[in-house]
Amino acid sequence: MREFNRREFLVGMTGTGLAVVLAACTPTQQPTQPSQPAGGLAKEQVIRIPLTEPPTLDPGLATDTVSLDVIVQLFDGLVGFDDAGNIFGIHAEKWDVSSDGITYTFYLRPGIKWSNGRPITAQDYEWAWKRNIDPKTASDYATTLFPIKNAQAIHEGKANPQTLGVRARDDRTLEVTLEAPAAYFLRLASTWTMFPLPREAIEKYGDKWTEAGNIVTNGAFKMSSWRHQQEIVLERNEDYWGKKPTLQRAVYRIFPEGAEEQVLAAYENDELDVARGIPPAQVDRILNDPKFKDQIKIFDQSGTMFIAVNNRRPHLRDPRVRKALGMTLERQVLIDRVLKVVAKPAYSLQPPGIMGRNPDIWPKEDVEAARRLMADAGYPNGQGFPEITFTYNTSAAWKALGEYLQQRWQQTLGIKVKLQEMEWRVFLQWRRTPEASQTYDVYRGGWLSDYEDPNNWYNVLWDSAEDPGVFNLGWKNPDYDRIVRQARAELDQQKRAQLYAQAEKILADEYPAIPVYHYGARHLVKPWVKNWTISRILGFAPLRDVQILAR
Amino acid sequence: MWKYALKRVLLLIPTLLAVYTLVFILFHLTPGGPWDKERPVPESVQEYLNAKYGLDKPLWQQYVDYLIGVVTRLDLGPSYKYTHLTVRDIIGQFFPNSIQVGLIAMAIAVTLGITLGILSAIKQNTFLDYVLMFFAIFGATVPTFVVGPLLVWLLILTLGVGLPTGGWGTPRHLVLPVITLALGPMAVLARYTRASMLEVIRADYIRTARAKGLPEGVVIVRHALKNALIPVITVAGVILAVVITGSFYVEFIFSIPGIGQYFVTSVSNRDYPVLMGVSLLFATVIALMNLIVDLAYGFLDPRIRYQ
Repeated sequence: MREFNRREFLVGMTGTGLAVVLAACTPTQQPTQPSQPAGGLAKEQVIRIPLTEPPTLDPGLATDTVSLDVIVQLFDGLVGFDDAGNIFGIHAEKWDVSSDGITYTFYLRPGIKWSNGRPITAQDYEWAWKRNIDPKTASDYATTLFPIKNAQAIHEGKANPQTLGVRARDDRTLEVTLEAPAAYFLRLASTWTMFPLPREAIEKYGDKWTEAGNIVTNGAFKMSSWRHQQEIVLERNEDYWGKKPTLQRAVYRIFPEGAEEQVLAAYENDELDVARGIPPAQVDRILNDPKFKDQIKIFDQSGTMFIAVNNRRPHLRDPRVRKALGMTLERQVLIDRVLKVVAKPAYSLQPPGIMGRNPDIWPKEDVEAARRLMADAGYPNGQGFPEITFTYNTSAAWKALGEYLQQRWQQTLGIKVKLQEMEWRVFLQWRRTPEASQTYDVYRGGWLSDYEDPNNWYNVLWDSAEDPGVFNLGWKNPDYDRIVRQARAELDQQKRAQLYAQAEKILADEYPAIPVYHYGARHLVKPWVKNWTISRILGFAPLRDVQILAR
Repeated sequence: MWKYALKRVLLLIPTLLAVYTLVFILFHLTPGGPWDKERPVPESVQEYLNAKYGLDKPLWQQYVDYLIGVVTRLDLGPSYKYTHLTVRDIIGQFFPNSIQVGLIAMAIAVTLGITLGILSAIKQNTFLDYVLMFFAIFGATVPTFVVGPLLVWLLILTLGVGLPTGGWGTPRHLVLPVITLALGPMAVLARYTRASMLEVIRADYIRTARAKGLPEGVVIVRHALKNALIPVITVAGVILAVVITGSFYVEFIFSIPGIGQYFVTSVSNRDYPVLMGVSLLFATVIALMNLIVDLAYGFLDPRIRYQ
């Protein structure tokens, strides 16, 4: 999944607006909230959460954190994973995998229902998957379905959607046939693109089926209203088959994109129970104010911000040069002082929790060693090394990053860096042109797991088949390709882990891109909110366990 | 008079056509398209998307098709980003909110602006005049994106006034955005009124009115103000058009579900139909406001009569 653009937009925006004013003001002393609530549950179980307008609430089309934030409350799928990586059944009571790893059979539990009262059947799954893979649906995440037989051909318009390898054997049995063994299939089956869909609502209302009044859902919450750009209200689904939430109602107040300062103001004025993220200009004030001390919650995100390097460029083809560039960065300084984000320094490209990851074997921060590497590569003190260009999409944060790189690489390695800023869509288009893939040097990259499986990293990002793709440009290692392709299909977890460990070793030696940090999130949560948490994947906040304590 | 109005309304057609053409050309010249995403969209999907939205047709045909849709069905197209909404939904749901905020702000700006302008003029070069004009310059020069957050910080977060920091739905939600939005126009109108009044009260016919022994109040309101208002109305008409089409910053700062923000976000989203629909809407509103202003002249100044 792409690096979320919300924050970038935001940093750019706030630079002109609220940040200027608010940052100039000294913090005010307000009567402090009692830091510990009185105990017991509040009578009114309502939570008020900030959000931006979701681009869609259709699970088959969703690709972003904002949409998912609401979708995961409204819809369930076959299986889920806990943070430790253990699988559990949701709609699926049990499932079998054939010994060759090709056929998956899911047995749905009885008594699961749509919000219109109709039972959820295996046909709902079959219909949803065939609809999502159909190129006419234009689902960005249809690639999730690719391991299923014929999926890719259908998506490329070469086969009929009806030939997809999924079949409802009866109302409660779903049989899935894969193209080839894929060890990560159950991980994929836990994602929203594979949720069942209410065919009747979609056929009746078309694009408008997700509007309040039209939408048919199956999760622990149901939609009570959606006033666009204003508010989404969810209420507890009293007919939910599983454990019902304590919360009676969730009120998502919709802010314009980038309105982080406004969210914080509303939080401080007790209009919200949660504020997600602290605007960079406010970080110092909030962190130094004892009032907020117990309200700051930090979460890890499964993702890495890195600097993509064009391995096609002659001077960047030598791994010693790439390593030298990476070894001179002071990641903690960058995180704390330059970007003021919550993050952990990254040495491996893979975030914690991804099988095979081993940051210990990656190059560390070491300026002297980096200088030696550059000298070995034929560029002592940067002599003879051409000026390189760092390209980034318009945002205050990435500009600051660029300026840091410019200064740091000049100082330590004698390398001159030119900065090139592009508007987001211009950047996206430019990045895929053949001209760009030949001429650019380094650019701002980042990746968040769609599902916590090594396939989503080792295969999707760095396999040479992904070149030119999103981040791999010109890096190719036949051993690596062979290993990760084998690992993708390996069903024996131990063997699989060994294979990915080998792949990690190759990445650490070759350093195709420069890892910078692993993403984190910093929320402000009122003391009366219990069990607020976010998913490591894409950072959406499931509300099922959230409780409101008496103030 | 009616003939004139009709002629002016008909003139709207070439104006809108020009706006349409310009926006159409500009967004086709802008690099980056709606389907440029971090993860590349497969070609087959792009083809379907292009076919669905008619982007696979030659440019001239896209130009004509959209135009025909607008003219015959008032169909402004779908939103590429918010697929559950059409451009008509967006305008229908959010434009009234912008109008509401804009009209209230304008009513306040006009009432206070003109009053303060008159006061300033008749007390020219007094302390009151200086104070009022200081605020007028402040109001005219400090942008909404500074005023808005400043009000939030000062009134709500510091003084604890019981108002929401933003949002929509109750009259309380309107207070701060209306003040923020009204401040600039009020200041501009006050300055225009003052300048215009100063000119008029030196005119001979005012001296005559005074010489006749009319009370000062009658002189100012009945004789001076009516003429002094002509330039003010010109400005007010343009300001009104700007204010009711929604201010991006005011809507952004106070989370108002208005149309103004779409003018900006549709560009970064490359949401062409939204950008087009909103541009046409704004052009229409501005052109109509200008027409109303011109017609108002006729009522205010007997020397101006339209054939």
